[in-house]
Amino acid sequence: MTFVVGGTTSPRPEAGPAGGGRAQVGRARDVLGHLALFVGLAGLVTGLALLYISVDHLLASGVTSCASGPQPYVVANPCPDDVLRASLLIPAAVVGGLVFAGVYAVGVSRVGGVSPWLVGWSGLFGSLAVPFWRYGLDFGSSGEANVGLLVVAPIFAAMGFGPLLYGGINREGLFYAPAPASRPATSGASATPSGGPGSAGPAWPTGPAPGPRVPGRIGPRPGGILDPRRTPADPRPPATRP
Amino acid sequence: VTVAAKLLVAVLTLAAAASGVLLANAIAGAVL
Repeated sequence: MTFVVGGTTSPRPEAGPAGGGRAQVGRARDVLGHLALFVGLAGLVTGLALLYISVDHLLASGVTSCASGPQPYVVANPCPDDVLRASLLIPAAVVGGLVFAGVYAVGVSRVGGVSPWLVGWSGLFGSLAVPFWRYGLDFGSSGEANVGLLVVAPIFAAMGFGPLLYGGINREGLFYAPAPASRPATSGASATPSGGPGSAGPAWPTGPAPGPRVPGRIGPRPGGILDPRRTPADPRPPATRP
Repeated sequence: VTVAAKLLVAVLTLAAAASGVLLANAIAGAVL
């Protein structure tokens, strides 16, 4: 059983009672790991929220096309200042969010927790579905709904909330990164799955060696193209090496 | 790990997420 609150887990099934207890204490005292977890999460959420606010602002402005800056042509529709700033805020939010997602990933790799893939993916698509739906139904002066936004909104919602629901139920694979039991002990840990939720095909590169793929479970197949241990120089799966 | 430690991590995680939203609001308020 894997119990998750924020960035803590119960001992892995293969760890002995004494070793698991020591590893838990070690993880709990990993101040840097938890610091990276919290700072990275705060930065990642900041980037996602800024992206949401910027897109919402752009859609609320009603500007469909505009141009600004020095160029050889006469601009028919100059961008309003707030629209220009919102459009510049979007790449800043994306880059900043990615940087802090990296910090969060470092924290998760040290103390375990919800995968940055799940936070970033569901946060991005799930949050953007809201303004798309909202302004798709904004009939405005034309009296017509924005069909393009109404098509995109449910797709974004499914892409965002689908993995969030699945990952919330099945805390494994790409959705949840179990904390390494302990750094020195995991180097020789058995890759044999013990049937627990956290031991079936873990996708995290710093965790113990992944076991064989379990049907119905999400996560990279050991030696597959998504396996982080697979390198282009040696495409053979690690499990088949002599 | 005690229940108190887990609760502390959960509270700090929520606080980090909430502070991210507040910070984004502040930045957007200053820029837009």
